[in-house]
Amino acid sequence: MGVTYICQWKQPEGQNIQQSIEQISSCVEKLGAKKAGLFQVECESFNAPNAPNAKTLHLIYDSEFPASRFALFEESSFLVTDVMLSAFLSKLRAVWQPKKGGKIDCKGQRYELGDFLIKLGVVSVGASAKGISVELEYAPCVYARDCWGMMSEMLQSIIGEQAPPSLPSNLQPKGTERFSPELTMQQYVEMFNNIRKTVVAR
Amino acid sequence: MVEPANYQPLSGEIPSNVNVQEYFLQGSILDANADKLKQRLQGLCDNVPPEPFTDHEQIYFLKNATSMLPIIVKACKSLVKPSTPWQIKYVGATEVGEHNKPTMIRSCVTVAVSNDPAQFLDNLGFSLQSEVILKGYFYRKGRLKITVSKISVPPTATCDTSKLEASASSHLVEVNTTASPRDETAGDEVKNFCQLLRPAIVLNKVDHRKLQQWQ
Repeated sequence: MGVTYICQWKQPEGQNIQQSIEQISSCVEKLGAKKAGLFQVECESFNAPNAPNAKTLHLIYDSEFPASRFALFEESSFLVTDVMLSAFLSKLRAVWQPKKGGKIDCKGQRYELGDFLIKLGVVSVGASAKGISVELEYAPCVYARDCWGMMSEMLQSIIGEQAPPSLPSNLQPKGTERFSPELTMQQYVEMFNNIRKTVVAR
Repeated sequence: MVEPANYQPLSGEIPSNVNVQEYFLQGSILDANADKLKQRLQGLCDNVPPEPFTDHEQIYFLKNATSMLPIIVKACKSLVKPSTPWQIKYVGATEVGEHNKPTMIRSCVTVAVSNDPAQFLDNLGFSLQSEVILKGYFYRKGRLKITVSKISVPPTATCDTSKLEASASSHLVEVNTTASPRDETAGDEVKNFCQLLRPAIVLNKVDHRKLQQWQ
């Protein structure tokens, strides 16, 4: 588990999602990356309809951490749990229910290129594809500031001008905090929320 | 291992072998006789030393608009093994069942969590109802779990486990197992084991409806 950066890749004009994913996949393969299986990140959102002040709860599954589940309340605490969290939440269904249209997932191909792990995924809400995600992980390092230079160069090779010019604020270390899977999941939730807003705006 | 493309870990069906039903019997034994019970358990149970435990258990409740009974969750943390994760356990209403049912039954789902779940449970709407310290020994026989423990009130300042104030002069004894709701042998297994503990202790079904009357 290293430092991970996730972003949504804005596909070129006039291309559908399938064409775009093929384009970016060939770009990654030309860099020398080798296919290393599939990945999946799934996020389900819950709310409490009878409690107007209740925050939305996001429940995340990531195939990189198959024995764990991640529970995140918006603007609040994060909890890492084992696989029984879904069964636990189902017992609270009298109060906490899945949000309609709240299920979003990202599935695609994993690539390995030296110490980098690159994941290119299609983000879908239900059965319809809504966007493309790019995840870059630099495995040997756990401090974002120390490896951002290398990650930034690799991102520019993959997504070109869409690569962020400097260390993004959500990866800025707080004191001496090591990078953790929670930061990865927070980035996924932010990306999913942005995609949901785009879907609603249309 | 890569899962099939239609695998839905969050919204798919819970695997049928998930054990969400707890079959249990409870009783108590005076402190003076607890050692004799422990010796008998040592002989009857699996050939491993009994595991000492000291757990800080917090009981949270959430009022449920659709039912008289609130939703109960217990948050448990070991005080002697700080590296073990917190556990949060949903416990359903206890069913005493008919006379021919050998044990009490309740649904239970236990989740291990990474850190103190107080903030998480607070966001879910739960309120802390009470907390206790349970100190005792844990025995096992196959899939049965037997605990003999003393209930204490947590000290107000710090959790100093050497200075606990006991709430009664007896130990709580519980024999339980978790199994699938379709498993019909689990209850009989618990009851048959409890028969072996007589007459040192008589473990019976307890009417939890009287204990579950909330103001």
